[in-house]
Amino acid sequence: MGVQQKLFLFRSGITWWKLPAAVGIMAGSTLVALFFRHVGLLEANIIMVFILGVLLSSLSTGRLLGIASSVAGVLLFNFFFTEPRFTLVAHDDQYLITFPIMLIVAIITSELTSRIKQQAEQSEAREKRTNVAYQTSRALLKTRGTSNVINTGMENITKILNRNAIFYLVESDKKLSIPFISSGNRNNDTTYLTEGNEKAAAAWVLSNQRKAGAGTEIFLKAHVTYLPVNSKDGIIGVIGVSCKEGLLEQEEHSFLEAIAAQISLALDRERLAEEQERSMMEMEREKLRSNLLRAISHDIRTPLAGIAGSAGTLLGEGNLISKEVKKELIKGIYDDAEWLNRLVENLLSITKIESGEVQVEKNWEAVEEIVSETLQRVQKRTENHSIKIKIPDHLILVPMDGNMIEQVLVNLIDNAVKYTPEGSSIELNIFKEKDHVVFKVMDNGPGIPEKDIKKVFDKFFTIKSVGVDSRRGVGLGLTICKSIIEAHGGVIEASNRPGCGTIFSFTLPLSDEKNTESENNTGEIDNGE
Amino acid sequence: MENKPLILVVEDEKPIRNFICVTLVSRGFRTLEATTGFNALSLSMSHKPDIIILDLGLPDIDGLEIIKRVREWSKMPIVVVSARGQEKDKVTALDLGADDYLTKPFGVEELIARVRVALRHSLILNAAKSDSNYQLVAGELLIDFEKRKVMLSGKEIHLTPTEYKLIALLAGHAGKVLTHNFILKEIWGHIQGDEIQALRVNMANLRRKIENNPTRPRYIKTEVGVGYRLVEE
Repeated sequence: MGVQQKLFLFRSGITWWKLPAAVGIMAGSTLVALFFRHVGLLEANIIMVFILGVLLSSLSTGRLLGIASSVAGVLLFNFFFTEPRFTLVAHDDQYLITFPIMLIVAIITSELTSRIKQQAEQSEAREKRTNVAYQTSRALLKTRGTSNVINTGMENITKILNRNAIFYLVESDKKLSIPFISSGNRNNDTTYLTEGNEKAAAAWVLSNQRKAGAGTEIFLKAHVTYLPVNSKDGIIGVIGVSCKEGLLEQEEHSFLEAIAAQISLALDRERLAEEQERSMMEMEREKLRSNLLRAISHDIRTPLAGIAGSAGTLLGEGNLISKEVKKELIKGIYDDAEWLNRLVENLLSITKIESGEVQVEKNWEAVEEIVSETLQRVQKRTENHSIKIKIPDHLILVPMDGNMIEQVLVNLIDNAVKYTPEGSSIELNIFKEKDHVVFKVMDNGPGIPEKDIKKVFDKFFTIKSVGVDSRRGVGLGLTICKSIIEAHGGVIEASNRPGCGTIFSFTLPLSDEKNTESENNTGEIDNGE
Repeated sequence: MENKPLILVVEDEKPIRNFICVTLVSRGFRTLEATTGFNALSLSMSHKPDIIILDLGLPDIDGLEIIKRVREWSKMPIVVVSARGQEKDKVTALDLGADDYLTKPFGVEELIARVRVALRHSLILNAAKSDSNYQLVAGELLIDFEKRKVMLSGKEIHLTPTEYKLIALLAGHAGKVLTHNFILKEIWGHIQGDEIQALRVNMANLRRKIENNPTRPRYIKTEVGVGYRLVEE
């Protein structure tokens, strides 16, 4: 075949198998017709066979070969079936009518068939596009996050149009973001999408809010056609589809606009959701701030009043008071100061935790060391209680922020002291379980009312009925414990002991625990007071 | 006339400064006051105090900077004062050359104890180290540096070489806090990820050998987040 012929075939969209197929069909029709003749059927039937062959040929091979088959059909009929047989001559003059009519019928059949086929194909493509548009819409409803929205939309565009696609977001400074590029699974080169000329075209679309690029009058040399993506507040993005494979057809363009509109809606929704979340967080912060202020003013004033009162008395009546009373007043001042100190520590902790400043820095710490420092810190406050420690004899190392866990233990023990009468016992029990270490602080006091057990860790929650020390806490101690334990990846809970008393128990995970065996196994280490 | 040690108190808050100075004077020390970092630096150079008590939260310069500058020309003991929850600052201060620390709010006894320990060690440094029979006694514990033996209530305790090095190091700085980094460098020679666990394990073993009750230690106190300290009674 010459170059010209190759080009002709190529342009008509004839693929390699179609010609043999058409030939095959017509040959097949001929054989069937010969069989009919052999069996003795009417000539009319033979003509119908050829018409049928032409129909099949048009269906499978397209318009051009369909017409060729029509002509071939007439010729084959003439050659094989009209007297004289096996020549292209026909004696009977009636065939002068038969042949043209047969040809016209064949051509019309071929033409109609091709058209039907083409329309069916177009319908199918349209249905597919509409389906994808619908799917995209549903997917975008579920998608959260700006990037996800854009990616979902872009992937669907590439899926249907089978072209590379690019999306720029418009950022708060009115400039284009780093682009999202979708290329499907085709692994082709996408660098041309971000060449200088392409970027310029996209920027032009941003400033002029009109389409540009391939297929338009602006930047027509670009490889990509760009559309603005608008929302009610103006342009929020620029979407582009590669036209290297050819310009977009009308239907494809409509599809692109539909998806772009969906993306725009979803992005709008995302922005609103983000704004809503921000204002909710602001509200939370305001609430906390006002609660803290309330707590601070009330719960700090009380001990301060006590200090001022005692100091005032000492200053004024100093000479008239006995030594014992003096000592008591001074002790009162000291106790109030210590109480204030603890309160301030807790307040600082909670504000740090709420503002997200708290960084848990884990180091390998020895449980016994944390316990020993805890006991030192609470020594003065636990003089009227008996503290029992139960930890295994061998060393337990746990990754933790030592000071924070110490704070948790101190808070728990302080609570136990505050809510149990003098002389009660407090037990600290620590042991290892599979992949974590369990800490339990137990007392044999009155316990927590069942209705309050779930609420003890809430911010600013305190129980009205109190023990000896009539000073209420701010209600933050347990909240802080919970935040710290959870930041370590552990769990904390409160429960009542069968009998009477409360258990506060928390766990700390061991990602990698080191244990050394000392002489004995688990033993009890008592505080021998 | 007895030469009372001179203490430079660097603290910008008056009540705390007063409290510290009054306490020190009542226990037989002389005091010098500074309210800013620059003031402290110049006073330390002009008066050569025997010890500096330094608040880390000064208005003009960072306390850590002052430590660095003083250490450039003097080994005089520095005890830093800081608040709770600032363990990192304390460790940095100690690693930069401070000798000990006090956590606000602190009591009189703590203050005096730190001052005494810091002074004693500086004297040891300054005095000639001719005493080869040096031993340390703390409660029932006796550490003999020459014979490299440790006795508890008269009975010898068998320690591994590392455990001995640990107790000897702590005893050599008795009363002073030693940071993890310092101990690791002195005994292990370097600081790496896993070494801290080795330190904990050795400490735990040591504790079990010399302490009655590992959760209420009498001799080796843990300062969580900072280091360890041998307590003399």
